[in-house]
Amino acid sequence: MTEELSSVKWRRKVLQITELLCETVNPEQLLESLPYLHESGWDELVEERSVNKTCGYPTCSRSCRPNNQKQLYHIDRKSGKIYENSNLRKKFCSDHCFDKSLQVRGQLETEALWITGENSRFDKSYVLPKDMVVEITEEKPRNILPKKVEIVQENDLLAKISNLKIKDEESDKEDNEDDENEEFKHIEPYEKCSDDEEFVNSIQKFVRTKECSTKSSPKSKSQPLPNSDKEKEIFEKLRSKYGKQNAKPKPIFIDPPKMLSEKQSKMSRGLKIEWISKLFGSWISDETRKMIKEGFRPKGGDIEQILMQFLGGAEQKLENKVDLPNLDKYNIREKRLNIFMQTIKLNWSELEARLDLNSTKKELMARFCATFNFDSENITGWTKQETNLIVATIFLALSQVDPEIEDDYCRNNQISGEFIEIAKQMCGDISFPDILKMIKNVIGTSSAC
Amino acid sequence: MADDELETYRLWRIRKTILQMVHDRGYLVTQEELDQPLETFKEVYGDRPSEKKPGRGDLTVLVAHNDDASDQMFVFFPDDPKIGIKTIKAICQQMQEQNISRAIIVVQTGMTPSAKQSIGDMAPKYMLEHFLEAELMVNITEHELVPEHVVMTSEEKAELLARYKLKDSQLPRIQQSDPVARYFGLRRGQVVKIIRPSETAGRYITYRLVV
Repeated sequence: MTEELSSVKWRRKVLQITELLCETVNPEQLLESLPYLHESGWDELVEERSVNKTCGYPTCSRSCRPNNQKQLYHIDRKSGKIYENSNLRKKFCSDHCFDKSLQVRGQLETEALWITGENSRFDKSYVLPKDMVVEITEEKPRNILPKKVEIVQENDLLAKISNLKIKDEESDKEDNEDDENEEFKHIEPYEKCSDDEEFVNSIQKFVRTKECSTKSSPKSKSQPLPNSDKEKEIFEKLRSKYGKQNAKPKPIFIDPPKMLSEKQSKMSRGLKIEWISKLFGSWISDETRKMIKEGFRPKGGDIEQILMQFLGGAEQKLENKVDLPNLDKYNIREKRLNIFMQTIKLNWSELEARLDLNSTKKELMARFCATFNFDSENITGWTKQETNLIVATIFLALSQVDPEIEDDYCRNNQISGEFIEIAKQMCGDISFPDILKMIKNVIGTSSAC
Repeated sequence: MADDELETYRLWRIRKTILQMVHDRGYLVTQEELDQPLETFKEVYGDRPSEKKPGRGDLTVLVAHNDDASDQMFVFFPDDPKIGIKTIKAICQQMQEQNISRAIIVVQTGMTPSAKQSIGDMAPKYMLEHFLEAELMVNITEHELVPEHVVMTSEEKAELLARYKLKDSQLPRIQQSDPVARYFGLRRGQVVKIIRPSETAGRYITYRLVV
């Protein structure tokens, strides 16, 4: 019960002290009352004083800066962050008082007096920050902006802008000069330093030289660049001083992914026969070779085949023979064959029409292609001419399998003139005997294996 | 000026709610004032708040209780957006001069913590309540989800406790900071009777003790 009473008592005491400090006090009084305050109590005191429109620091009698800023948040677009606008500084007459207040606050206890009760806080010695207020008022104007913000005097800017303005409107120089004079009258209070004068001179010189140059070459109008190194230096200085905020970040370049087809078509342009042989070679599987060796109708049934292979001591590739279930729901091999057939369908029909083939040949071709080894890179993505060449190659390869085609177009390894003519029309100037040789070569490697 | 228009409307709404509030608390307000439309308000007080016509000080209300003419209450509208101890002190000064012990302060944006503390400090002698302007834009008791609250006198409370053979701590409770409790300016220990419609019972009456 006594504790509660004392808590109320302390509360009242703190309130009294706060009320006392709401009026401007001398440093001794402040020092005396500090033990009664705590950190958040100090904040309350500052707020209380700012509501009364006096500076938040109790010994300072000036009024606080007017706070007409209604913007609550500040968006930094460059770094993509949102900052809360702090009104704390606005509760003081100057940043100096703000700093002093922070120093005092740092010395205070964190817990309120009515929570801790009377403890060591009264033995603690508090130090008031040195009062430099008088010096400051003499040195600097009242409204000192936060240090973080770079101070750019308005006149300073005006001088620069008015001089820069000449660049745009050099067409009527006389008017401009009048303007300049007016502007200079306007900015009298701003004391020009040598740096600025140099800058002004350089700009004026620049305008003069540019006027001469504009007569000869109108292009230079769009790109005004300083001539001498000195000017460059000055501009550099100015840019580093004022230009930072507007500097845009450099764009990030992302190279587009390189497409495969591009690579292939490049290859085809250079070495057509090599390209087709590589492609054809990648298709040909053992199965294809077997088909070529034995024709479309192999002797005996499947079992006989297997027996023959087994007895012949051939290496068994079970995974190819046995119908294993697919890992995913797509039969990739079938899919790829489909894509490939779709790719060459049109071109094949064209060849078919020109050669007057019957549809059984198409079936043959499909069966032949079904034996190919397809992977993701050799099934599609060719130009029309390339596809034509592929179709022609497949046709020639078929001639090795089908005696009918062989008879008609490729008797005794001599490609018929009719086919060569049509094929040349379809896929450009290419030596078809070479291709035939290549096909035999590729197939021949099988027998070697 | 659209701003002026809006501000006048706000002031009219706030004043209207305040008048209804003091009326519901049992203070004497004429029916004419309660029904005052916006046009009359503009005629009486002006319609340019930006030029202090009306300034917030002009809106100050002084009302007397129905039963006891000496029981008077002030309603202050301070000009500062945020009020501190100084304003509270000034208000107390005025109350002391006129020998009035109750007042409502309608603040624009808020109060400093120390000002709130000083209000609590003066509590037994001067009863100060504070409301934000935003809280008074509508009369919450007129909302359809707010049931009817009737403040009971001490005799009624004694009768209730006797009838149900209760101690007051056995009643259901309502906080003093409850919006409706604040609207009626309830004090700790008072009992409020809540009459609400019920699907099964038609009308259901419940009592709340202010804590």
